[in-house]
Amino acid sequence: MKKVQIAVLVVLFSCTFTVFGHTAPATKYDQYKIGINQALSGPFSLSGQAYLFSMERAINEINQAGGIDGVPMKLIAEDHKGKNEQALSNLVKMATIDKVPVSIMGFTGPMMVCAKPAEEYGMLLFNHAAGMTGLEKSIGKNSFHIMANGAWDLYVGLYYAIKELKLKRIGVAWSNYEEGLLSRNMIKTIVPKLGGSVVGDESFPLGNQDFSAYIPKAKTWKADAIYYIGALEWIYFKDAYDLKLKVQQMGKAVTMAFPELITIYGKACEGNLWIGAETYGPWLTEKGRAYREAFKEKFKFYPAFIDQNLYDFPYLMRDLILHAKKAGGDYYTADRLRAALLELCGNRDYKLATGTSFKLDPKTGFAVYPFVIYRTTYNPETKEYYYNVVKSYTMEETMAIRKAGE
Amino acid sequence: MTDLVLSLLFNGFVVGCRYLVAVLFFTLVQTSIEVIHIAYGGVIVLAGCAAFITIKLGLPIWLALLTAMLSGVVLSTVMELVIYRPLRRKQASNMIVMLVSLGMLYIIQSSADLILGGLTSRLRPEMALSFSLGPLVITDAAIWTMIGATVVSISLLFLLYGTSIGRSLRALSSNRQLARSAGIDVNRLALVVFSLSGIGAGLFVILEGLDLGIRAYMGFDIALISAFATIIGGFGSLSGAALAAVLIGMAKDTFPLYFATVWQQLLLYLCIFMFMLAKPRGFFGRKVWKAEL
Amino acid sequence: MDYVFLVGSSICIYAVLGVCLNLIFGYGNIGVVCSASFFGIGAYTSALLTLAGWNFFPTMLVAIAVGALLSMVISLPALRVHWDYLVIITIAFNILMYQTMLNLQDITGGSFGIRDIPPIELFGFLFKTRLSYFLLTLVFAPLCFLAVRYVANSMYGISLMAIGEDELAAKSIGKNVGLHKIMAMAIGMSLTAAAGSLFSHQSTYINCESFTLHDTVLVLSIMIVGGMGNLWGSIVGAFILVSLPELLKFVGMSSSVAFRVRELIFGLAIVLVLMLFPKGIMGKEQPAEGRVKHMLKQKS
Repeated sequence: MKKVQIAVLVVLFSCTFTVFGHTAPATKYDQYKIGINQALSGPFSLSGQAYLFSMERAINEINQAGGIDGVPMKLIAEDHKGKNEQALSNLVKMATIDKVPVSIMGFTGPMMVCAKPAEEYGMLLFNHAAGMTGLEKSIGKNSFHIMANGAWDLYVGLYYAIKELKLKRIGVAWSNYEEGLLSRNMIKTIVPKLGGSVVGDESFPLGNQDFSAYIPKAKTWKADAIYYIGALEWIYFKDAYDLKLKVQQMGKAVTMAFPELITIYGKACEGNLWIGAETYGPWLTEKGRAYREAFKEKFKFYPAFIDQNLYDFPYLMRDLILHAKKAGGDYYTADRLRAALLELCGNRDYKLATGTSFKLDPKTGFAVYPFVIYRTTYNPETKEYYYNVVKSYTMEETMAIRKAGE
Repeated sequence: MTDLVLSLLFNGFVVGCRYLVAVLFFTLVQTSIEVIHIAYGGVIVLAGCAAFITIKLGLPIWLALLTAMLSGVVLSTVMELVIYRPLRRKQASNMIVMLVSLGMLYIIQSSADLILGGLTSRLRPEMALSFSLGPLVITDAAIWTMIGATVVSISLLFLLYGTSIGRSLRALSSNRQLARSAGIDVNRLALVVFSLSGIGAGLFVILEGLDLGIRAYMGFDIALISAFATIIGGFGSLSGAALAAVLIGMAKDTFPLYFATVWQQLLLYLCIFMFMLAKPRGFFGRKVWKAEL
Repeated sequence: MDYVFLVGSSICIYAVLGVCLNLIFGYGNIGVVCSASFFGIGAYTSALLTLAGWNFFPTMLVAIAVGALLSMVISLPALRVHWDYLVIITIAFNILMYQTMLNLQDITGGSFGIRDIPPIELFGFLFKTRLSYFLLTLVFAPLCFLAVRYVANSMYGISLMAIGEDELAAKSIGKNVGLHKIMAMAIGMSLTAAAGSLFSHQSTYINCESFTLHDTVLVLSIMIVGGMGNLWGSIVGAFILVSLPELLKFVGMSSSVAFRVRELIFGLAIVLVLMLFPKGIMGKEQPAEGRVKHMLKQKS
């Protein structure tokens, strides 16, 4: 290509960019923009469609009920596919071009990349689907973790297994991603504190499909219970069943987001325990029930906590906006919303739209939830498997359990 | 401990048998028309998509096997006619052909991603039928895999030594120039070989899809393993490649004796590298490296 | 405008990667498919050293040294096996490096990555803002480009191109093929590592997910789209392939579709361009091509 042609192209592109870079948005009080910067597709996405469905449903409901004092809410969705640079570029676009002051942020890597820039640009990030324990110092004052902290289920689950079910020999099967690594390290400290012992510890690649080598190894541990921490390897349970690994399997409730675990592998997972923040139970509101049924109709399986949390989020934002508005002035900013968040939820019980309550720890920005233990159970009448609540702990009990394991 | 070793060796052997199904066809293509058919991974993925759609329509597995094989044959033929033959005619270098093959693999996998999405799709919802034999647990998929590997090996053996096409293929692989001047039609043989590889792709994907599942990006893995098995086995040697495939499977499952499962792939490639350095001719490589230095 | 600066700095860095690969692949016809690994090695080196208190510039020098040394890990074995099969070896190397970055958690942080990387400090000035970082890359990229172009137009570069064009002929006029190829890889990969060292300071965090085979294929497509053997082309290629998904966001196409489009373009670019020009090298810059032909004529 001739040099002149190249120069022309470069100039053309630069102009296009600068034009877009300077697009003036509508004033931010015409529409309350909230963002989501998640892995909506690609190998890391659990279910981008489910996330969008949940958020959009809540936003539609709010707008149909007249919006927030008449002002509608709008969703700006960006896909980072698990790539850090893309997450950063999404954030910069959302902050500087779309002028969005608050966004859902997904995955640890992207969260880490965006945490400091979010402070610089004045944007609040609400963490979603990321393991954050131990990173409190690195995420700055604009990052919050409203979803149940990924590590609390370890305290609760291990407490239940060791103290209540008297299963002392614990094995750990973990997938080599940040959640797995963090969890494994924590399990190794929690278990001895509770009086048990870690008899085996094996990691496999993220998305591993072939457990033919792992299962014989796990058999040698002679564990009472094995804690599974993974994201895309639910085939692990099927292999464990096929290759006859007989042990109490436990896992995080977020794994319940995979419909196959109930629809196809219900048999393999029968008796498995899943620990997570309250998703559904007698505390579920009418709205929550309607959401769950609508979700099931669309996706053929019930939402997990990870999806439900995104349905609750716009409602939480509505409350924050209304609260911040009371003090007047320029209230739709990161700082004002953060203040509202701390006033409404900091060390106080806040009830979400679907009925679960949480309490925000202002020091760390992490939320505390009551925890529930589910078990995959067979219903002979409907001939289907479902998640039965076998134990539930209040927020205070959960915090006490955590202290016991620290 | 012996229980563990036996289990790992057996499971590894089954994995190796499954690799063998793909590797033998890959090597067949390489020995006869000297193409490192990286896009074979793409053929496998497409066959997998066909199988996936068949199962989704509620049809039985044997029908899925047929559609997988059929789509494998169709895609392989298209690849030969549209891509490999023109490149052969233009006498493109091996490297260019490999790159184009890589590009094709990429296109197919990206497209498959749109169909399959990010998750794995398994071909059968039920649990495997398994029975215990001492410390070993044998699943029905394992048995099918071993049967499949045997059938493929015997069929190819018969093809190469019992048919006239086989004789032509052997002639082509031992001395291409001579074979062509003796009137062997490379283009026709290429079509045969690619079609066969399409059938093999269908079989492989069904065996893998039974318990492991079909993923949009599974092509890379199997293409690389096939390429390495070909190199380790020694160019021009199908038996070498078969042996290499089985050994790769067994090595992969034996590493977990001393290392966490997470190191499997890394250690495997490391061992392959070191083997290639130590024995660049491979196990039974009888061909001298090409004169094109 | 920060958004423009961010995308701009990405373009500059990827342009360098494309230009480096072009020297090896486009000029020397050496099939190397592992740019992202060396990119990552440079990034991790710089990140770890700056966290240990080093100033940025020395870390870039270390990254260059490490890149050069590591390139020999692949090029020396290729001497034994066969240069053609370097394509497969480097793909496997890419996967191997990714697995190493993922599993050596004590050093690389595994999937957790390395966080709180300090910003670049040169001559007392802290490159903290998007604008300053962009300007830095805007200086770095042309410097690398000029360096590679100097090498390409030098006697060594002409010999390299001759080797890439017709190895047998080049050998017959006395060129040491092996040495030229090893040097090409050392130069290309060490500059790639240098770009990586710069990249690790784009934000305060890196992890292994930025250095996968997918990223190598991006660099490969940048080189091919721009034209193998055409260094200016690699800059244009970087411009197109890095800004495409960003631009598509503004015309209402969702990000996930934009990314699929880009991925399909990778594959199509490689296949179509190479199919139409199977001898490999096209669009070489005129003066150089003439000198190559002249050199090859000398053998008779």
